[in-house]
Amino acid sequence: MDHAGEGRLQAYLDGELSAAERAVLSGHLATCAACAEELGELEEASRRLTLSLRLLDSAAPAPTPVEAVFARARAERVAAVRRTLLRAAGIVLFLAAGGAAALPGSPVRELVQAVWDQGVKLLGGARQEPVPAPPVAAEPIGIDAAPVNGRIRIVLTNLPEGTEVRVRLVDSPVAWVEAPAAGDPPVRFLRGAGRVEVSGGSGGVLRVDLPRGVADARVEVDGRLRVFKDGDTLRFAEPGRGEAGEETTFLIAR
Amino acid sequence: MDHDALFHRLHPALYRYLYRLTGDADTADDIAQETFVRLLRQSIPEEEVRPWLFTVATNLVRDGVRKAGRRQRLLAAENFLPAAVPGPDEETDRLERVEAVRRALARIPLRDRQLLLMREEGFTYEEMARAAGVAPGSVGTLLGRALKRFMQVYQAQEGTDGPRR
Repeated sequence: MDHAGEGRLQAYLDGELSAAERAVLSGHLATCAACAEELGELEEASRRLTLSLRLLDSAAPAPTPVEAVFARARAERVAAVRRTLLRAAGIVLFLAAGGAAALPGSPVRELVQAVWDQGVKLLGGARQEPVPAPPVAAEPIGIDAAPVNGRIRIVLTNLPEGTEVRVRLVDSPVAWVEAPAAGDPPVRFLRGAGRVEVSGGSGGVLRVDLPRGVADARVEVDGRLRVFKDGDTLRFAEPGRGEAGEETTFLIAR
Repeated sequence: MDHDALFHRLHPALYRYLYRLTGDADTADDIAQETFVRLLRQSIPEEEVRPWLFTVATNLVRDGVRKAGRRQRLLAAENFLPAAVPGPDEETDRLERVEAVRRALARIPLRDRQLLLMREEGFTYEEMARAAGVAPGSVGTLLGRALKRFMQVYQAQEGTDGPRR
């Protein structure tokens, strides 16, 4: 038998050879010093890689708790199913209404015509201004972040004016920030060590849950401290506003 | 399929794999979450979920290299990472060795890393071949070369004989 080659030796090491192949290679290894030496090198490299990876793992911070991952995944799944159902329902209604309105003498057609005539009369033939679409209830999305050395910072930048920020203290080991998913530009989350940055979005309500147990928790808006945890309560940084209790709300204003 | 049980069973291994693959805990955490969210949008036979998760996660790492690069720069620019805490010599030595492993992994090709790390997680050659898009018969050779490459890079940068017990 020729030399085994590193692929077969590696497969031998990993238990990937059939019983027959293994028997043949074992016989070869008993008489071929070169292959036996190469197998030893692969074994040693493999052992060292495993040790290296364990060493690397020892420096890994704990991941997001599984429960939080599951909660996010479940929320997004529910949102996706809702969107699909709403879209399907919208298409069905549109087709049904369109079909009914196309039939001469149908009540839907008469209704559409009456509404149209009324609108034209009210406007006196003037050009119609586009009417903004009513706001669509957007499914929220969120991100969590674990405190580092007892500190957590929530940094809000370039949020639309009028965004309502609701901050509260919660019995959770991690902070949670949640905003409506829809919007142009979409809301963006960036997570760093002990920190979450939120920017953009379409306004609405932005929810910030701060872990009650941390020593230092703060919410900053465009580079300025707005709300921070002071003992068991929240406190506004602006002079004159003072203590805010366990839950507070403020608006983004410029 | 009991998604809750799957999450509990597979999330720790996926996070560990991604942390080793990317060398960055936040990226690993984000991609692990994203992968599980994508799993819920799919209908995957239960026995195929584990290789599916690792394949999708690796693809997300591959696709996100440029984005991750931008993020790393932002993190560095804003001093997101806590400063190194001076400690006893032993701890300093350990952190240096951790950093050496991280650098060595980062310097070998992504496919090498993927195969080595999937092997560590106990995947079969067949599963690794599908995930990496290579012929099953070539996995042994690719793994052997990847192992040697990792050790060469690790030893070359440290001038040591590798990690110690």
